[in-house]
Amino acid sequence: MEPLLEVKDLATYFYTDEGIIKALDGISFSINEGEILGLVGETGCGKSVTATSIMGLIPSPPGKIVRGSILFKGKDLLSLSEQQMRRIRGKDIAMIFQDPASSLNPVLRVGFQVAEAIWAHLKTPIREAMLKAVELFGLVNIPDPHTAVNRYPHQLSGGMKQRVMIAMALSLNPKLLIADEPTTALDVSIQAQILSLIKILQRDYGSSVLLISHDLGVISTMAHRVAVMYSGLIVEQGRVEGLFQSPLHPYTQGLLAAIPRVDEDISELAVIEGTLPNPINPPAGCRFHPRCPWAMEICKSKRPAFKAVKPYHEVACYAYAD
Amino acid sequence: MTKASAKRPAHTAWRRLKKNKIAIVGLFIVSLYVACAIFAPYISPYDPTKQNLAKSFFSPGTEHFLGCDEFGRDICSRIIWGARISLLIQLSSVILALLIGIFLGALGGYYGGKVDEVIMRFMDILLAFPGMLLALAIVAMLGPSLRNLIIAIGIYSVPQFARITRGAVLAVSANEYVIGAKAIGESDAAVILRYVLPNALSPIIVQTTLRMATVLLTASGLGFLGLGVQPPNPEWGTMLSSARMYLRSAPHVALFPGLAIMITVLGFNFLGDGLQDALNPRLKE
Amino acid sequence: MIKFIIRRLILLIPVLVGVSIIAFLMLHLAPGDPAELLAGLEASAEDVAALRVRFGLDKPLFIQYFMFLKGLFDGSLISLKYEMPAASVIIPRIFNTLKLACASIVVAVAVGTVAGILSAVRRHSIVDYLSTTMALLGVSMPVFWWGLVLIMIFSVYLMWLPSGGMGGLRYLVLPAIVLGTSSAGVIARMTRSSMMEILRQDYITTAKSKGLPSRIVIYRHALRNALIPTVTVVGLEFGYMLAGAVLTETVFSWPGVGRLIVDSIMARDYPVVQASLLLVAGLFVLVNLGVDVLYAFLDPRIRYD
Repeated sequence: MEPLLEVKDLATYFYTDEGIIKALDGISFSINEGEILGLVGETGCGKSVTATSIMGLIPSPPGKIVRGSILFKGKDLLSLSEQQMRRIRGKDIAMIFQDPASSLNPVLRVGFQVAEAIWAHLKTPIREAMLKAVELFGLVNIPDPHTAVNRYPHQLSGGMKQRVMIAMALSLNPKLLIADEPTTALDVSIQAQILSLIKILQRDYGSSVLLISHDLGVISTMAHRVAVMYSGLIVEQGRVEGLFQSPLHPYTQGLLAAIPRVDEDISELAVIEGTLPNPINPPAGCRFHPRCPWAMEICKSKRPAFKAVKPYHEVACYAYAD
Repeated sequence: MTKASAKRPAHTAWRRLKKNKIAIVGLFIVSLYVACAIFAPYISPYDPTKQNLAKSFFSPGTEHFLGCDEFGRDICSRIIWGARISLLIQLSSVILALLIGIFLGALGGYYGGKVDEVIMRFMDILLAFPGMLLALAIVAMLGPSLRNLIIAIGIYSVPQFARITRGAVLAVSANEYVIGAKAIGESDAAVILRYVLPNALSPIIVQTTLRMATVLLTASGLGFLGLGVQPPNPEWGTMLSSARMYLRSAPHVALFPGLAIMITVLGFNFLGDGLQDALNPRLKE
Repeated sequence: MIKFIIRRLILLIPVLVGVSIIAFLMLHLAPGDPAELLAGLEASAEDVAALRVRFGLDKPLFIQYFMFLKGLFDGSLISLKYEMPAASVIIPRIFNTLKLACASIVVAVAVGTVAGILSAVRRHSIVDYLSTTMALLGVSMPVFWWGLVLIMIFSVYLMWLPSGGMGGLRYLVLPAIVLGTSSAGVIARMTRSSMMEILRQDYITTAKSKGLPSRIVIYRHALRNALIPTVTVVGLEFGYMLAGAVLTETVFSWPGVGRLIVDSIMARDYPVVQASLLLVAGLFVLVNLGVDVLYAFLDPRIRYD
């Protein structure tokens, strides 16, 4: 079966005064129909740039996609004109952002902001689209949707705002939903509700989801497959069960070990030594080698290639070379 | 930002400023202006007040680069000497405003409460006179002269500096090192001078530069109205005031002093904008 | 909302009292005897004495202050030059200034916002550089000189427009452009920077991610938010025009309140100077209050209680 989205060797650079930031330096992954792919990594590793690259919303200048392809239903999004891309945004690929408080326009009523998305693609008159918005608000469990559509963002709680964002994203029944840290800005008690809402809607609508998170707990409960990013590159990917049970890459192992467990003594909390490399001058070879406990001579000069070590489980690390 | 540059904010700011072409143009204009003011006696080709009626309204040319005014005085020389008067007005009035403004702002911001309330209400009252009206009123009260002009423009600039200083003081007063300095028994004056004011420096520098532009416009405006520097002193606005009568016959007499004002003000504005970007990189796009 | 306005009006009272005290004290802080100042240089000792009694200058200062305030309203504060109540001299002049200020602000807003938006949307393009330079030039222009230059071009050489005075629309064109130029620059700079700030906001990315055409993103989502700070600047600029018109009115012989103040200073018509200062400052703070109310109206986030 052909995947819904296939990203191949995608590289996005930012040309700044200080130098070229290689935010993405050749990443490849794919998402199948109805699948949730978790993209995990530390802040600044390029997760969000991946999302904005797919959406075609890299601010340019200074940003630029320098190579690679993004195949959506077999068509390369990078070859589309802005006009054609606009017709895909919001309709075929929709996005939910990290901070619902800043992602809604403060001077427009929330119902209008949802209706507007419908209008943009179907040319439905705003008044009719508002009725659809009420329906969607009900679907995402916003109480009293008739009144809620006429509220301004500042009149809603964070969780309610994120529900509005979800309603907006689902308004045109998109094939692919990109959720960039959808619960990070929310209270812990709300997080679970929002996640289960996304999961239920994903199942009912049959959408695929690219779920971006730094939170391994979120990924493990939500995703079918997971890709681990480090410094603008994917270092390991595979099915959630396999990857979480037996991580291969030393970075993934470190990440998993860094999760505090209730049954473990806090003093034994493992932390990966060092910090994320400078994205302007990343280390040569494997970018993880300065922090890697297993670093070998070859790691310093040549970037490791992906290798399927187990079925559905690939890793880019020389430790698994034959 | 690297560690080395973080230690030397002035160095970083200068590096940023150097990259900003417009700011460099501004710096060049301002330097030229200051040079004219300092070296006026050596570079001005003629005596700025010497009348020669035979040459009245002389056109610009090789003999008199920018021509002569109604009394046959060399306009170029008057503009060069005018830089000296303008710079004197700008510097003394801005320094006056800085001293009073920083004092009042620091006082209000540091002590808060009633002191702050009274000072800030008073600033509100001064700011209730829009634009140059306050300066105009003070000059009207004291009578037109160079000294009174400086006082008027100085007072009219006080609220801006008081507000900026107060804001900066409020922002840093809650910091731990300030609280610490107070705790080890340093005097209020020492705390303000050593810990608080240095943090207010960048906004004050920017505001001072931009204020130099406003002050020049106001001073020349008052001169134009006949309420500033009195003739025959070659203040640029005063020069325009008399040139106005001869617009038809000798437009060059009005053209050049006005250009001098505009270019100088532009220089200060360019520089002030550049400094703003260089000192507050967060505001940079 | 009503509560907010009332509270703000109450807060204005101390400011207005302060302003009136300053305006009142002008005569008394000036070096020399106020009666002699009023009487002028050629007055005899008897004239001065008569004037002292007529203006109540022999009374205690605070009584004089109340007489000044009372006189402003009941017409007993008399202009020395026009020999009629100061308020009746000033108010028609204020309307003339308002007329000029309204025309100027229209020019300034039209030019300033368009230039600012174009700059922000086509950042770092020729349009942007041109418009930012023009804006800074506008801010740096001495108004009186700019007025003279325009008179030279349009009245003296081309003879298209009158060089001064008040009459039909033709008389309004040059002074409105001159008075509006600096404000246009300020508004353009403000619009540009707030527009750029807004275009960086997350909700703009959201709007784009919905697939909205960029026209809609810019005008519906960005501009509405960007104009909120601009409105404040426009209001402030309008307030400044009430007084900044001094120079423009002088250049174009426009019979407004600014020129009245200057003329009255020259003619030592202190009652008119004092009363004009008070009225203009009062108008200015009211305009500022109006701006705050408008701001609140535009930004649903601001609440008043």
